[in-house]
Amino acid sequence: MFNPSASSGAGNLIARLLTGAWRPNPEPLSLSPEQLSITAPLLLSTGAAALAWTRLGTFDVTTNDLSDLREGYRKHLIDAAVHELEIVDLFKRARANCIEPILFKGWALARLYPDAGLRPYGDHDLWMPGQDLERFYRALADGDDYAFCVEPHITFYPQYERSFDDVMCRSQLVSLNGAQIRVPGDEDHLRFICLHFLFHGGWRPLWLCDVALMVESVDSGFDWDRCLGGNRKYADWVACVIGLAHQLLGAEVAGTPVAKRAKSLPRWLTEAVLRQWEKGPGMSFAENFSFSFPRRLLKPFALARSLREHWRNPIQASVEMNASFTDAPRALFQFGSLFLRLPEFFRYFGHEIRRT
Amino acid sequence: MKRGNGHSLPKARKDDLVTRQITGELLVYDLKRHKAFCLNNTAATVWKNCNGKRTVSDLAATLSNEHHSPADEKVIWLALDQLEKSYLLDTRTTRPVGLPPISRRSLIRAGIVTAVTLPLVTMITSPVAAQAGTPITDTVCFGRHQMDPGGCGNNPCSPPVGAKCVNGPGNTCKCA
Repeated sequence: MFNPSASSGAGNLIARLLTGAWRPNPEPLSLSPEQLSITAPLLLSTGAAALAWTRLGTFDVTTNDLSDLREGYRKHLIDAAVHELEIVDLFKRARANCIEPILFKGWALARLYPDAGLRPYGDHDLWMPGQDLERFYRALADGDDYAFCVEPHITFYPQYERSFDDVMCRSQLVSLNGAQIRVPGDEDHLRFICLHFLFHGGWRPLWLCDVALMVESVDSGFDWDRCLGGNRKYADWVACVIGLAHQLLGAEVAGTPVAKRAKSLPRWLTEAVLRQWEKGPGMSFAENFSFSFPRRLLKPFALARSLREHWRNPIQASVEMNASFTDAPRALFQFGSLFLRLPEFFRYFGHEIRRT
Repeated sequence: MKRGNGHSLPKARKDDLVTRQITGELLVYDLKRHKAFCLNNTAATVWKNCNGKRTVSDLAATLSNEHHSPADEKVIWLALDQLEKSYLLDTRTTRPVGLPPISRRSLIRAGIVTAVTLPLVTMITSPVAAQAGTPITDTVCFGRHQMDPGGCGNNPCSPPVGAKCVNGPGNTCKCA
């Protein structure tokens, strides 16, 4: 089993810092100013500043890095207050147009944390049937300008293996400032955030804290068969993400059906996550070779950097290639994912040339 | 609200503001200007008690009562100056003629306050944008159109880190 406290490096430091940070009274941790200066920018840029602050905040604020983490907490907390108003407004507008969306991630997860400022979110992910989409956009455009970021979805990853109606049936209404906000059932949400973590290459440590928090929050009524149901390969993907939360962040998984898998993850998986955390913000799964190639041609350094950014990490490459999480080396999948995206790259390149 | 002698009395702004209290601080978000502020205990006490009826001396007495220590009127004037600059007051306070400008440094130097009891209103600026929205590249943003469903989207751009996909010139979108 992997032990982050025994290793050095920014990824490991982040893992140590965020261990148990989602709990009401996390154990205080002390880092040296050098360690803080390495981790603080990464924590800030990936939205985990406030969580880290809960473990470091009991010490006197004596460094700029600690002050920055504290400022991150303030920012998240006041942003959360504003986002809560936006969510109520969004559901009001949707329902006025006979649309009942389901809110994923964002506030649907942030509400589970002990403090609203711990889990930042910038946009509101709403799942709704495809036929409602145009009406929803019209509802948003009605009245005052809306300046907040809404991301409506009509489909999710095929590996999610859940239809909108299916998730809607098991969704729950949660009270927020007097309004009823629809969020997915815990089983469907945990499955979703695990897959989401993988499809984005696990670059945001915050996402693994979400998984840890959800796993530790499940009660005896939690239907693990529902969460892990469907294709066995995808169930294993979900189990591996929970395993990462266990191994890297100390999430308690005893007594769950994934406890055994959580203790025996492929080594490349934990290493890939830590390497990605060390690098900071990663590339979105949806992005292929979408960058301005003609513009970059004149700047070879920028071109090399852009190409390097688009090289998939082992996690993203594996899910893109629909591969099982075995101990087999991942290089093959990384090359495979590169070739898989080439047609899209040429299509985009042609478009860029025409536009330039 | 005006006092008998024609001087305006300070009144805290209530509309289009969202507040959150944390230990020792009050966070305020201005929904109109999209700016967030952090008020320390002294500034928050002054702000909360600005009801358009209390004079500066009343506010000093209130601050003194709440903080169990004497409060000079100069401290209140400094707090009001900062609150006014942050657009957190509805009624502009009329300063008495001849009252010299008050700075934090002068109050500390004169021994009127300590650094802890000094009123402080600071703008909250995230050191690095830490949004949790789905990041997109500048080209994906550039490929969007303001008139499309969803418009530019406001997604965080990565790279450049810290930018957002917002409206550009002539219905285009740009990372800025």
